[in-house]
Amino acid sequence: MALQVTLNRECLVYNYGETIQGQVAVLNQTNQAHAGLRVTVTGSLHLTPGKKDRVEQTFTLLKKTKELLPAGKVMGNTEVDFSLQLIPESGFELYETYHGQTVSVEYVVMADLLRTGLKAPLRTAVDFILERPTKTDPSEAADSEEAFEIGGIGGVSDAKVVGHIKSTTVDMRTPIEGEIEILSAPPIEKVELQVVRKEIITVPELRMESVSEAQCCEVIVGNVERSLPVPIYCLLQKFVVCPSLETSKFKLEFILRFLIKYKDGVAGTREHYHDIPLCLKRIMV
Amino acid sequence: MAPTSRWCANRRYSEERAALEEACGLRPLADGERDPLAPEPRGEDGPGDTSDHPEPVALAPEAEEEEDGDDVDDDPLKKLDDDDFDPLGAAGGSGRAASPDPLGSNVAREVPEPGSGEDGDCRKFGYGGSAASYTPGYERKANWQDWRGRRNKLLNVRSFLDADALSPEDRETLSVVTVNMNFQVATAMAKDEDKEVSASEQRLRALEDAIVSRAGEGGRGRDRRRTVGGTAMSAAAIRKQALNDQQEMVERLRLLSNDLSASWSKNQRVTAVKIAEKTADLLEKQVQHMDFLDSGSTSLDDGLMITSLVFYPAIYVFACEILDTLGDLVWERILRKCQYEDNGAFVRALPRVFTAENVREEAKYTCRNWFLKIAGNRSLVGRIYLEASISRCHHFLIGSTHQEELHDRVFARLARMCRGIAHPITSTFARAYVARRGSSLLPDSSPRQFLDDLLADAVRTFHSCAADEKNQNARGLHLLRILEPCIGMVVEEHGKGLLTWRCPRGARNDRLKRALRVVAGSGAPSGLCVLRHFLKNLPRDFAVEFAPQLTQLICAAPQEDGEGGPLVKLYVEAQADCFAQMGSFLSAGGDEVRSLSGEQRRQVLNATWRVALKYSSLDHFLRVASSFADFVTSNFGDREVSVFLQSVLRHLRDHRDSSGSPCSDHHASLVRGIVLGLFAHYSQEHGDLGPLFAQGALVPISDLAFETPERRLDFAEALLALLFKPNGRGAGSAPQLAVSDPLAQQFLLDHCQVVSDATSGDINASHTRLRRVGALVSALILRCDFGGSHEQLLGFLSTCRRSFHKLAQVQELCVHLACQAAAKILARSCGGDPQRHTAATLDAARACVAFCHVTLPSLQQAQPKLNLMLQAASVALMNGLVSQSESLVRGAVALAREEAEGAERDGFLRQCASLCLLLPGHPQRGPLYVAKDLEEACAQESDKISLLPMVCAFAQESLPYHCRGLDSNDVLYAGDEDYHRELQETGGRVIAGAVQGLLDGGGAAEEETLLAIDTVLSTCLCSQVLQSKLRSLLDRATGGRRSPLAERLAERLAAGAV
Repeated sequence: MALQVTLNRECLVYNYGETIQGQVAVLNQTNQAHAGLRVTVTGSLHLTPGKKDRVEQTFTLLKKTKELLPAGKVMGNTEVDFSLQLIPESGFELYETYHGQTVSVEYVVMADLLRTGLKAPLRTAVDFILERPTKTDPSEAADSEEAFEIGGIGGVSDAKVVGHIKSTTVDMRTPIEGEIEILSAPPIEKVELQVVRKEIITVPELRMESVSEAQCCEVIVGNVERSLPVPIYCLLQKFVVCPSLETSKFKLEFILRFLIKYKDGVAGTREHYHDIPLCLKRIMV
Repeated sequence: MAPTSRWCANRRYSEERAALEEACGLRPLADGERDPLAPEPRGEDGPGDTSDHPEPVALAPEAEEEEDGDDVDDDPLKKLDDDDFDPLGAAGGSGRAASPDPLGSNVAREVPEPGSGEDGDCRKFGYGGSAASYTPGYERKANWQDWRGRRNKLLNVRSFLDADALSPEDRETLSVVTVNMNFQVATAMAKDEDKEVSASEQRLRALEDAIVSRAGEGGRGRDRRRTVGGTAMSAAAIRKQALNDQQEMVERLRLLSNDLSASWSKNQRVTAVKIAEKTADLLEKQVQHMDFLDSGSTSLDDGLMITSLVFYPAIYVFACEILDTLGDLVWERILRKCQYEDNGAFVRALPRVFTAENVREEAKYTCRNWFLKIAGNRSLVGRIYLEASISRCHHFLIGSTHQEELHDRVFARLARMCRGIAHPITSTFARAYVARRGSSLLPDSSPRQFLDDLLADAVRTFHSCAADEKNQNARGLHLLRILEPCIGMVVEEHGKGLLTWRCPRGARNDRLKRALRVVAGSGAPSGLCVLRHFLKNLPRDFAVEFAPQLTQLICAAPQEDGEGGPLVKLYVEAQADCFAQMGSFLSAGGDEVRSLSGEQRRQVLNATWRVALKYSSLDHFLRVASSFADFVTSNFGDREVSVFLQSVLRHLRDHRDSSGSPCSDHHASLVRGIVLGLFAHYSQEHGDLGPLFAQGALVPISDLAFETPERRLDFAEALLALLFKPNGRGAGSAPQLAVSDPLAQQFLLDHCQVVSDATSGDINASHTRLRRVGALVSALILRCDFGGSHEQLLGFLSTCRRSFHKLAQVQELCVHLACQAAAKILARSCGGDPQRHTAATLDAARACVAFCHVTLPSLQQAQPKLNLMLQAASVALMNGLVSQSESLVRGAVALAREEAEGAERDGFLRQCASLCLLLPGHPQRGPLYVAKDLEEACAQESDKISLLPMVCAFAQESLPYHCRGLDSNDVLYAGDEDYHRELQETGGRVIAGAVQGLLDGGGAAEEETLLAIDTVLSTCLCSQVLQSKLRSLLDRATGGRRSPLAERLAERLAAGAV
C-alpha cells in the first residue's frame, strides 16, 4: 500500500492566491480498511540561527487540511482529486520559497492515510514552489546602469578595475549583465562574481545577522589582458536567492560582490572585493 | 534489474560494444556519480498495473535513422522525478557544483521501479533523426551535428599531427588517439573498467593535490623535489607520470563519454551533465597541469612541456565530442517534452517549423532549467563550453522574430566571455569551440556577426602570445604551433560564413577589410600566421582585387635575416604560405587578374619576389614559385619569365651547395609543376618553345631537379604527354607547335630517349605502352622544324634512328621523312624535273635515298618494310636515281618472295609491277631485267594474274604513264625488235601461267573466276599478239575436252575480237 501525490503542474510553481490542484493516489492491490485520507498544504518559515544555544524557530505560514476520504475501505488503486487555495494564515504573509543559510521558506503538500489498528499512518509529501511576482512599476524600471570602479587595490595606487552593471534592480528571471575591465592591476589569479545574501533575523530572541555566498561564478580566470572589457553574465539560481524582502521577523538583502584574487604574494594581500547592493525582484510576466 | 537489460543500445557502437556497455551499466560508478544534491526520489511511478503489459522490452527505439547514433530511450517506464534538475533538488545550499567525486558518495540510487508499465501508451517519437529540421530556416543543416562536426574533429587532429615538432612517441600516442576517436575500439581495457577508473582517478587526484599544494606553497622557493600527493617525487618520476597521465586522460575521457550516454539512457540527466561539466573541467585542468610542470624551469626539460602541449588538442577533440553529444541529447529531450508528457502520454503535435509560441510551458521550463543549471557552474570555462553545446535550445525560448539575431547575440556573448580566460591555449580552444558551434547553428545566409568579435579576440591573444618574451624559445614555438590550427578554425568559420552570407558585395568586402585589419594586427610578424589561414578562406575576387594591398601586407612583416629567435622560422613559413596562397589566387583568377592594371600586377610580382628571393629554404621558395608560375607566364613577358627561372635555378643550386644532397621528391614535384606549366603555356600560347629555351636556365633546372632516373623518367613522360598527346592540350585548337630551336630539339630528344630507353629496357612493358611511347616520339619528330635544311634533317633523323632503334614506329617515320625530304628537294629546287637537279640537290636527294636504303633493312615487320621500300624506290626514281630505285625494288622483290603472304603480297606485287613499268631497262641485263625478276618471284600461278596488267601495259605502243624527266622502256627501246620479242615472250609466259592457274583452280568462287577472266581478256585485247597467244594456249590446253571455263574464255575472246 502506498500513497502518491501528483500536482497538476509539472514545474510545481504556484503563485500567491492560486489554487493548488492535484491527485492523491492510493496504490494497493487488495481491499484495505483505513481511517481516513486527508491532504494538507503547509508553508513554513524556519529561522535557524545555527548556534547551538539558540533555538530554531518555525512559523507556520499556511496550513490547510482537507478530508478526502472518510474512514472506510479502499478498493484497488484509487485516485482522489483535491484542490486547496494558497491563502496565508491570519497574521502571516506567504513568502517566496527560499533556502538560505539561516532563513528558509518551504511549502509542502502532504497526504496522510490514517490506518486502522496499530499500523502507522502513511504519509507522502511533495514540495512545491511559491512565487510572488510583483507588478512592474514603469518608473522604477527605468533604473539606469550602475558603473563601478575599484581602485587602489592591493596596495597599488594606480591599480584600477572598472565596469558597469546594467541595472541594480534585477528581475529574478533575467541575468545580471554588465562588463568588467581591468585597466591596471597586479597579476590577477581570478575575478569571481558572487551573489552574497545577507540574512538578518529580527526576532528578538534569535537576533542574528549572517552573510553567505549564494552563488559564485568566475568572470576572469588568470591574468587577462588589460583594458579588455569582459562581459558579466550571471543567471540567478533558484531558491538560493529570492526577491529582496523585509518583514517583521527577518530581512533579506543581496549583494553583488566582485572578488579579485591576486597571484600569490602580491602586495601583501591576496584578495580584494567590491560590493554592489542589489535589489532583486520577481516581475510579473 | 530491468532497466539495465532494457536500456536502449546506443547505435554508434557495434553489437558487442552494446553488450559490453550493458555490463558496465551495472557498475557502481554511474550511480555513484549522481549529484549528491539531487533530490531524493520521491515520486512513485504512475498508476498502472503490471499485468497489462508484461513485455517492457517491446519499447520502440524511437529515433529513426540518426547517424550520430545518440539515440536515447526515454523510457516512459521510468518516470523519474529528478528530471532536468528538479527545482527542489538544488535545495541543499550553495549553488556550487558538487565536487567531482564520482566514487566518493556511494549513495546507490534506488530507482523506483514498481514495475508499472505504460508501454501501451508509448507512442513512437515520430521525429527522431530529422529533429534538426525543426528549427525554421535551419532545415538545410539537418544533420550538421553528425558529419560536419566529426569531420572537423578528424581534420583537427590531423593538422595537429602534421606539426613536425612531434617526437615519434608522441606521434604514436596521437595516432592511437585518432583511432580511438572513432569509438570503435572496444579494447580489453573496457572489461576491467572499474579498476582502470579508480587507478586513473587516483593518479588524477594526486596531480590535483600537487597543484593545490603548489599553490599553497606560495612564492616560497621550491626545491628540485616536489611533493605530489604527499609523497616526494623526483622530476623524472613526475615526467613519467605525466606521460602516463596523458594516456589515462584519453581513456578517462572515453569512459566519461560512455558514462554520459549510459546515464542519459537511464534518465540520470543530472549525472550526464555532471560528466559534461567534468569534461569541460578537464580542458582547464590540463592547462593547469601543464603550467604546473612548466613552473619549475630548471628541473624539467622542455621535452616534457612539449609533450603536454601537443597533447592538449587530443583531449580537446575528445571533450568536444562529449559536449556535442550532450547538446544533441538535450535538444532531443526538450523536443520530446514539447509533445509528450514524461510518462509518454501524447500532449500535442509540434509543427515542423515551430517557434517559441508553439512550445509547451513545461518544455520551456525544462529548457530554462538547463540554462540555469549551466549558468550555476562556477568554472568559466565550463560555462562557456556547456552553453555553447546546448545553445541550440535557445530556440525553444526565443520568439519568432529576429531569431538569427538573438542566436547571434548569444554567441557574441559567449565569444566575449572567452576574454575572461587568460591562458592562451584554453581561451583559443574555447573560442574555436564557440565558433564551430555557432556557425553550425546559424544558417548560412546569416551574417554571423559574432565571428568578427571572436576572430579579433583570438587573433589578439595569438599576437600577444607571440610577442610575449617568455615564448621566444622552442616552447613558444610549440605553443604557437598548437594555437595556430585553432585560429585557423576560427578564421575558416569566419571565411565560410562570409562566403555563404547573402549580402551585397560591398558589405561583404567591408567586413572582410575590417577583418583583415584585425588579422594583420599592428604589423607584427605573428600576423602572418593568421593571415595564411585568412587568405585560404578569402573569396577570390576580393583577393585579386586587393592583391597589391595584400601583398604589401604580407611583405611588410620582418623577414628572415639570420637572427631573430626561433619564432622567425614559423613566420617565414607562414609568409611563404601567404605568398603561395596569393599566387594561386592570381594564377587561377583569369578575368579578375586582367582587371588589374599592368602596373599593379608588376607591383605585386616585384614585391613578392623581393622577399621570396631571400628565402633560404628551398621549400618555401619553391612553394611560392610554383604558385606564381602561372601568373608570371600568363601576365608577363619573356624577361620576367627569365628572371623567374633564374631565381628558381639559383635556389636549387644554393640548396645543392649547402646541403650537398639533391632536392627531395616534394621539391622535385614542385619544380616539375613549374616547368610543365611553362611548357604548356609556351606550346599553347606561342606555339614555339624557342623563347623558353632562350632563357638558358631551363635545362640546368631540369638537370638539377630531376637527377635520379626515376624522376627524370617521370618528368619526361609528363612533358611529352603534355606537348604531344594527340588529343590532349598540346594539339587541338592551339596553334601547331613547331620545334625549331636546336636546344629545344635536343632537350626534347633527350627526354624522349629517357622514356624510350626506360620502356624498351623494360621487358614487362606492354605492346601498347611501346606504341604509345612510339607515338609520342613520332609526334616530336614530326613537330621538329629545320627550316628546310636537309642536312640537318637527315642528321636529326639518323640520330633518331640511332636513339630509338627499338621503336619500329620511329624507324618507319624516319624513312617516311627521308622520302618526304627527297620529294621536297625535287619539288622545291627542281620544279619536279630530275633533269634540273644541280649537283648539290642531287647529292641531297641521293643522301636521302641512301638513308632509306640503310634504314630499311633494320625494320622488323615485313609489310611496312615492303611498302616503304617501294615508296623509297619511287622517290628515287622521281629523282632520276635509277640504279638506287632498281636495287630497292629488287630488294623488295627478294624480300617479298620470302616473307610476304596472302593479300598483302598481292597488293605489293601490283604496286611493284606498276613501278616496274617505269623502270628503264638495264644496259647490260636487258630491258625487262626487273620485271623478269618480279615474274620469277611470282612462283604461284595465282600471282601471275597480278602481273597481267603490267604485261598489258608493256604491250601497248606507248606506256600509259611516265615519270617526268625519265625515259621508260617504250622510249628507250622504241622499234627494237629484241625488246618486243622479249616482251611478247614474257607476256606470253605470264598469261600462260595465269590461264593455267585459272583452269587448275576451277574450284574457286564464281566472282573471282569472272574477275580473273575479265582481267585476262582485257589484257589480251589490247594486243593482237597476245590474243593469238591466248587462243593457241586455250586450244592446246583443252585438247579434246574443253572445260566450261575454257569454253567461256574462248567465247568471250571471240566476241571481244569481233
